[in-house]
Amino acid sequence: MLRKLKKEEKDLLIKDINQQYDSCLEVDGLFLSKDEKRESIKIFLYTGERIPDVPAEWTGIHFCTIKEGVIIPSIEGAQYIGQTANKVIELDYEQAKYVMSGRDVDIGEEKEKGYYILLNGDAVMGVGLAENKKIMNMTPKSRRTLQQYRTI
Amino acid sequence: MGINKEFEQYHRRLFPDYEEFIAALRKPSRKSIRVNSLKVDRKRVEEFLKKNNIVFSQIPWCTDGLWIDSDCELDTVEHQLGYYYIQNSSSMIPSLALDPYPEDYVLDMCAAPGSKTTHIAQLMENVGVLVANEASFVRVRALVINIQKAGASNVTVTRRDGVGYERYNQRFDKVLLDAPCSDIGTARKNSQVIARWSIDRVHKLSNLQKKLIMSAYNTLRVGGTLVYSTCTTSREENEDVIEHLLKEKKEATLEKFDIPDIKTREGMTNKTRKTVRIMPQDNNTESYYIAKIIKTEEEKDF
Repeated sequence: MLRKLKKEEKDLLIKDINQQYDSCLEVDGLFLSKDEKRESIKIFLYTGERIPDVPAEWTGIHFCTIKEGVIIPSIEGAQYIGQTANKVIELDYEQAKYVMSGRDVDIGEEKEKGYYILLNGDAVMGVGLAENKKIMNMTPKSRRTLQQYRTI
Repeated sequence: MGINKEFEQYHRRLFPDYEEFIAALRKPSRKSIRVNSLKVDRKRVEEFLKKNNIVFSQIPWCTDGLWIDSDCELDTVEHQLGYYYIQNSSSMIPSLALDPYPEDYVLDMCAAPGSKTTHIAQLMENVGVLVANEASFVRVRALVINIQKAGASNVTVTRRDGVGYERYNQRFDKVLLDAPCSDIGTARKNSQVIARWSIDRVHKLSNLQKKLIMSAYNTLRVGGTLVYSTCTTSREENEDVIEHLLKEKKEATLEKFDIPDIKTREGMTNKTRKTVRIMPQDNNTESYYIAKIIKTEEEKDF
């Protein structure tokens, strides 16, 4: 069951996102939450004019998951946040292809452990967890290119 | 491609240019994509294609549609980021015929895997209300993945049988019924659809399509628009379904619609001349059938 976030809850969520990713996110639309009693909460973004009165399986797009206070954006959530975020890791196109094929990427430098928005030029690839000079892959299986490493 | 005799006999009677039809079905499908303007502009995708030496050209009837004329893999990083959707060029037409506006309240009744849902969301600029329904649990998953990938945030997904959908007491401005069918339009990608074609199956599908179109029509508000489409060729699944609706609902009116720069054929019966057939031999596309219906007034016994 989805619950519509109140204005102050939405504002707090955006504030937390902006703190965590050093961004200036502004977003129109409703935020809806799911699984509030579980250890991770899923947040959805809905931009329709109103929520229709139908027995819904899914509403809007998955924007982020909150786990133990940490906000982990989906690819689409990252594409919103990444437009203004500073907590980012720049990837080259080869590394981007690795990320989208579901593999971890060596970045060759130690980053503070945590989640970063992954960029390749103006393209936002989602988020990755930086740890031990690597980006641990967060790309969902349903969004990976079909081969392990695919060239055009 | 081995030809099913029953299929051949039926289609020879249906199409005087059967030889051209079957020759076109034997050709490989021409690849095409739709740029997802909810995420990127067309220029961004064109740059990507050029950079990778992929030859492309404009699909004349769809602003965001591009033919891909290189032999290349389209499941790329950009595809998974939702910058474009791999979609047959003729299957872009039903959403364009529906002509949804940002303020509309729209139902896509048989929505999976979501090519038309995401196209409609794009045309609605992610506002208004778009309900995407799919009866099959397995296919709902594919639908949701594609909605997510497209960033189509004005969509609500329901999993209900399309027959009887009017029981939810919602009335829509626009309804798309892209009905389950015998799929002859996909024969260029999958010749099995011809192998398993039978008139018995066509009759079963036609019965289901007649129930679905009545239900779809009943969910429309007065003045609303229903687009009925299939990617198949049989008269039973196309013109006969529209005639069934026109017979049962006297206030249902067919509306002619124009698709620029594509050769179309009229519906095959006197009452369905305003409907459109798209044939593979005419445009190097998949087969499609499209009808646009207006609910001019509330039926008396509703």
